[in-house]
Amino acid sequence: MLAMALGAGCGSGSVAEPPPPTSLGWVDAVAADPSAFEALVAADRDGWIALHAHDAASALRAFADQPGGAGARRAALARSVARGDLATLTADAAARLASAWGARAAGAGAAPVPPAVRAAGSLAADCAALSLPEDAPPALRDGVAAHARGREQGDLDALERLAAAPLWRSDADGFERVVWDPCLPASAAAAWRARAGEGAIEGLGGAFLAAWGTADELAAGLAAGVPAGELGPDGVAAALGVTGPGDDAEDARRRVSALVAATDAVAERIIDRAPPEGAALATELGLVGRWREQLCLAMARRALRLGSPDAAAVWARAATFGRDGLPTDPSAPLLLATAELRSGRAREALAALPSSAGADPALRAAVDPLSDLVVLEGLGRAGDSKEDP
Amino acid sequence: MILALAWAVAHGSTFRYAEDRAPAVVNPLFATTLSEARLDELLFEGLFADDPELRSTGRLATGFTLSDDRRSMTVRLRRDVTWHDGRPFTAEDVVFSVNAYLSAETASPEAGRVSFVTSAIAQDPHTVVLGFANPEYAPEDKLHFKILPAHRFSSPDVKRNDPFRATPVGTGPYRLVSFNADNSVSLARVGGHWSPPSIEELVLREISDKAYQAKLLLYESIEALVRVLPKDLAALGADRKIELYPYQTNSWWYFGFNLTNPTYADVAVREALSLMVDVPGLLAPIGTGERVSGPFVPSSPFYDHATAPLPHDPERAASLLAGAGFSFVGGRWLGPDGRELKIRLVAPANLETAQDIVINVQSQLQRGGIQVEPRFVGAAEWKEQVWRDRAFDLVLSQWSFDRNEDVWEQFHSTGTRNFGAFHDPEVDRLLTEARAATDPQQKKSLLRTLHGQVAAQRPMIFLFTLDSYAAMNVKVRNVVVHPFYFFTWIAGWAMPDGG
Repeated sequence: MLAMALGAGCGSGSVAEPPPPTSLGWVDAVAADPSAFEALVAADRDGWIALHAHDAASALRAFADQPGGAGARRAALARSVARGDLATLTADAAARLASAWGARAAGAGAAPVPPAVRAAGSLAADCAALSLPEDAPPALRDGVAAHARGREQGDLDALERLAAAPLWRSDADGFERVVWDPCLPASAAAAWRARAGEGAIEGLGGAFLAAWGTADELAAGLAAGVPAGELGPDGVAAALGVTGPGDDAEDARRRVSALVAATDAVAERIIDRAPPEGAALATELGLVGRWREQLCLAMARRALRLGSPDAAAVWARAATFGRDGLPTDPSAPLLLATAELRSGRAREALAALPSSAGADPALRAAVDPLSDLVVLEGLGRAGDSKEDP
Repeated sequence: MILALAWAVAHGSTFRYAEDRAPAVVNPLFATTLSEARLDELLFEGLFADDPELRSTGRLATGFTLSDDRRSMTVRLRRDVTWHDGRPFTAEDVVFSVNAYLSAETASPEAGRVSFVTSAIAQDPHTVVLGFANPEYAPEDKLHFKILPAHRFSSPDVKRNDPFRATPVGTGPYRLVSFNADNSVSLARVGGHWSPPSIEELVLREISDKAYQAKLLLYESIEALVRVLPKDLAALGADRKIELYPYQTNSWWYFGFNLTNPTYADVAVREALSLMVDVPGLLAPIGTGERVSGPFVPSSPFYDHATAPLPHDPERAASLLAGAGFSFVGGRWLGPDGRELKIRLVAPANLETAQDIVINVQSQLQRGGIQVEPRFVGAAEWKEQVWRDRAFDLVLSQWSFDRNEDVWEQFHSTGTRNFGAFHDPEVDRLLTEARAATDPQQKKSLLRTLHGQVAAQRPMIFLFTLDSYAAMNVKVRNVVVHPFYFFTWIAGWAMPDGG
């Protein structure tokens, strides 16, 4: 018994026993009283369906006739968070490409950095400033100027339009060079955040489908300056005892395992105690899994901010498992890619993104510099290959 | 803590992992499969290896100096290294190894990885000077190939059946204890290794039945599966005793033509056969994956998304065969010489995935009037019949690539892995230019063009890539998996509860 007690205290590797089940806020609220859910979605069902499907763009269109309503504000907030995740990856990729290419070129290990690539790196280093080196191509300067105007005016349409095309392209060297504006997603994220407005989003609409448990949690978190994408771990989730920062991948895996155990226990309790309609609703919509998914993504963002990319990767992956045919948040691959990139794994970062990402204008701003970085790292190398039937 | 550790030590720690196929040869000179490379990772070391952030770090090397012209490198070697047989590691081993890899008599399939080295000279027992054909920016990135013990060979001209393969001796953290009657391989931790691992014993078990592999893992009879089929991911991932680790090896399955056979020299015939294969139909029983249209995986920087995979189009296939002089008589295709078109399809033995694909494609082609004669061969026979003798019309296999995704050896006319004898001057040109490129955007453009060109020439029927994960019991701690070699950082893994 003494050895076992000591072993457990030293991190024996066994999965921790889950704490007693606790309320998950809106999840329990919906299960206990489906009529509250019906009241929420009655006027804007399409919008909430779209939000459930992680389709913020469609949700915004559906909520367009009530711009100040809970649905519209939540959709704008979701869009802001998603653009923010893309912004992190895009800026990281562009900055690392310019830096790595410059270092390699200085050592005669690569061709000189094209001015446009260096310009993108300069932008990415400080998106607030949008400053360019002197030799930035004129066409690129024009694009950044348009970006600056759109940002100043809070013109979301202009920003989204600019993001759909490269900042600069050229065939002058006999092959296509393309550079994307690495800061457009950040500007779009800020504009969407402004669109979401300040102040509380009351009632179930302030928390439904989110990582946080209640509207009060949202209000308190935003008032305290917590980024919207990191809200959740300090509220109802804290009672689960598994959402500390996590120092490394191993620690994060233990916490994920404990989180799964705890939320499985909640799901069982809901099935046992909720009225049949509420239990059915929670099951069909996968509400416990949704809350867990969003919490994992919030933890991933926090781990990235705290400089623990290995832990962030664990949390980002955890968000995608066990979704059982339910929609997955498109932020998950973006966060995973960022985590891999910051761990020095550029090729794994590319692999984390959907294979269609190369054809998606919104994602090409990240895919193109990432792929260039992968190729840069392999210059001059003879790779290894093996049969692997 | 102390009592728990003492208990673990007393009970030892054994890590048992499943491979679909046991390695056919344990000699880095002749490693052609990923299972062989994984085992080599445990037994042998290179001058350098990747650190967990995939930067080159010294293993047998402690440091180096590059000449001003970057055409030579003085490498300082670790002094505290002995071979598994107790003999000291010295610079002569590095010299021997370079010569063995490059020896035309050895004909090592790994020669391409060493070909940038033109000379290796032992300056003293712990210093070796390497000369390069061209200025090298970061030669340490290319010096990961395994070093072999000179004293165990009579010359750098090494034969494939050299007795070394049965009694391999390396400097790695594990030594080979025994090849067992059940095709398992037992390894033991090397006492006094300069980077001692925590896990005491390893056992490689050959288990070709993937369902059985998964059961053994769930019932804790083994600690790890190196590869999990996509259809098993959900079940394993849901078990709290199991942790899934991404193991993306940039792999794709294919049927490869033997282009020395005149029947398949015509690209129209190759295209016809490609159109006869229902690739989604082959993939469905295996699980989820993505079709590929050429020699890269869809996430690759070099994948040309404008090159679409061929559709399943038996009518067009028939038209192409007729145009190539084939005739359809009595439900069978006859070649221009009047003989029935029969395909010798060679596939790996005892592999569930391969069996599924072969049986399926045999049925598909039979419906199209083409007889397929499958032959399943073991790992050793594969090296002889496929690599050496080209005794096939079509092979089924999977290539895996490290993060450089270098397809030179598979598609250049001089490539050491080009056992299909593919030769296209445009492909050679693109590969040569891409290899010499110093601009990543230019290299990307060249290889995307290559993707399209190889796809158009159809030396292979490109099939699909599968989502790739390894699965391990959670009692294995601190696991970091190398994205290609898997075991590179096993020294940091631990099983504090024994096993």
